[in-house]
Amino acid sequence: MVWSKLASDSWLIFRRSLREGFRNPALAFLFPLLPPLMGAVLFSQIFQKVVNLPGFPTDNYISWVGIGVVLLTAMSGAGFTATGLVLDSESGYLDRMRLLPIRSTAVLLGRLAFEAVRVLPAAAIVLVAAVALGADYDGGVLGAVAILGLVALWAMGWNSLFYVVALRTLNAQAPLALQPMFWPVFFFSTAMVPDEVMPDWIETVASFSPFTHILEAARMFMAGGLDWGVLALGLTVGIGFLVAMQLFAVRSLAALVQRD
Amino acid sequence: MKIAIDAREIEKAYRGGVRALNGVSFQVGAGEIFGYLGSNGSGKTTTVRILTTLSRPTAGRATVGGYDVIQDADSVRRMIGVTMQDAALDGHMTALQHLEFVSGLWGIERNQGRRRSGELLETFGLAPAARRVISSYSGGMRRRLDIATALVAHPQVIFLDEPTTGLDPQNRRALWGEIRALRENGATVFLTTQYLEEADELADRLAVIERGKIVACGTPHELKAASGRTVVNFRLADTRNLNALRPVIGGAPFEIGADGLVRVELHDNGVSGSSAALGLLAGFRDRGLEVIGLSVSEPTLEEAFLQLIGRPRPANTPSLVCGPR
Repeated sequence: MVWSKLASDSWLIFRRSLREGFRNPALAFLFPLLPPLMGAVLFSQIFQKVVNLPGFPTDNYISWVGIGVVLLTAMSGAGFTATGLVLDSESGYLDRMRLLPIRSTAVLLGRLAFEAVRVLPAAAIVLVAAVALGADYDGGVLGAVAILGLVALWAMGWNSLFYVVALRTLNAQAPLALQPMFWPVFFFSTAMVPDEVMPDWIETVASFSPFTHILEAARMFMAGGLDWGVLALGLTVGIGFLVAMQLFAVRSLAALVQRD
Repeated sequence: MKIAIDAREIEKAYRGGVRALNGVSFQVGAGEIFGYLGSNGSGKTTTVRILTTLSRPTAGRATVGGYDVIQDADSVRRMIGVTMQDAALDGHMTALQHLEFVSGLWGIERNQGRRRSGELLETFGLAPAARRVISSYSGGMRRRLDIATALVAHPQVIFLDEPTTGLDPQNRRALWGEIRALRENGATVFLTTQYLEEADELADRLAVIERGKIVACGTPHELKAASGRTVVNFRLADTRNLNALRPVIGGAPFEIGADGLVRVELHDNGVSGSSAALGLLAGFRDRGLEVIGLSVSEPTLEEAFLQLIGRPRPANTPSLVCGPR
């Protein structure tokens, strides 16, 4: 009963976000697409000689960086619904939601589901583009589905961080300011180069990044393999990051009431 | 009388030391329209936010429909309908989509929600615009939709925070009719306003709040009588025998103009201005003074209000307790 109400409330809020997305298609759907697409083209050209480094595992650079730019769609243009949350708070809409018999979790989950959905077209296009640019791909349809699932998982975790910042600052510009955060996350991971080629300290930082482990799980699907250990680690850190950030976000939403 | 809203010694201090409410107490009977009158920043919205569970009091307690607003906030929310000062609507939805969305979140089954939305749009005269996006609505339409939204789940207690602020006179009057209809349907209405005329028109009882304290409370008539003054003007045919006036007028202050116009100020004496004037008239007749003209001006609530809030008060004056009738 409680769960079905939570699900139906989240569904209604998801639909509102979806409508919002279709009204702002550039912001909702193009922002996750364009920077990664540019990344796929530019990285594969600029860094093509990187593969000549001794021990570099792929023959062409796009085969290495391709999966990274696919996952970049989960972070590029993040915060769409987080900004909406701040605007709802300013307009009093969030108060209206709080007066309804719904769990505040539903307010976040509905939006979160939209964040997962809105990056999928971009991720699919970038995956196709990477393959078209010469990336090795042996994952088949199932592999692609699994990769998109991991993109959605990371998009939800990453956007949860934006909810925390949005709800703590109540500043519509704050999620925007947070956007460039995807650069350090991207560079401090195995997205650009394998860990054997990194300086030690970056390798250490990257090994602690949840993004690295999701990325490696996705890379495995790209190659058409299945290593349960890699998958389990990727899922564990991905889900762990999502749950932790959601707990913070729900607390931040609750803190709004106490702040008043 | 059953008590719908019971506020006891509510205090609210914000961070930074701003005290919005200083021990506000009042009771609202079920089925009443209770006017909560005050100027900008007097504490009206803070009171509404506390009673509707959106904000926590720093001290004191309050119940709505018998449920504690802090301990039993969920139960309170289930029985109230609220419109805040700014109509909280998603401009990109149509009115119908909006009401169906809210019905859904109330847990109302889909078809039933659609029916209820249709009813409300009909009641508030919005049916012809049901499929238009809300951003194309006028201020009056948005207000009406906002109130319709508050009524989706048939609330027993309705909070309207300055519902007519910013509306033109025609829309304001139309909304008054709708607010009266709420009471006729058995709901209790807590109405904040800065318009005295509105409080006078609608409220069964009202409290005046000033700097977080209740400074007056009663029926509109009582408030007018308590703090206003009735002025009675007589025109006499013959102005030569003015000494005969004094015993009739008694202690009330009066002035006599050169043209024979006698202006008497009557302060609260428990009777209405008109009957006091009739009493004076009879007294003058008895003494052979012929009255050829008469006018009575009753105090307006506006005068009463301005006098109330303009009155200097020591800082430690306690807030009045505004009990039920």
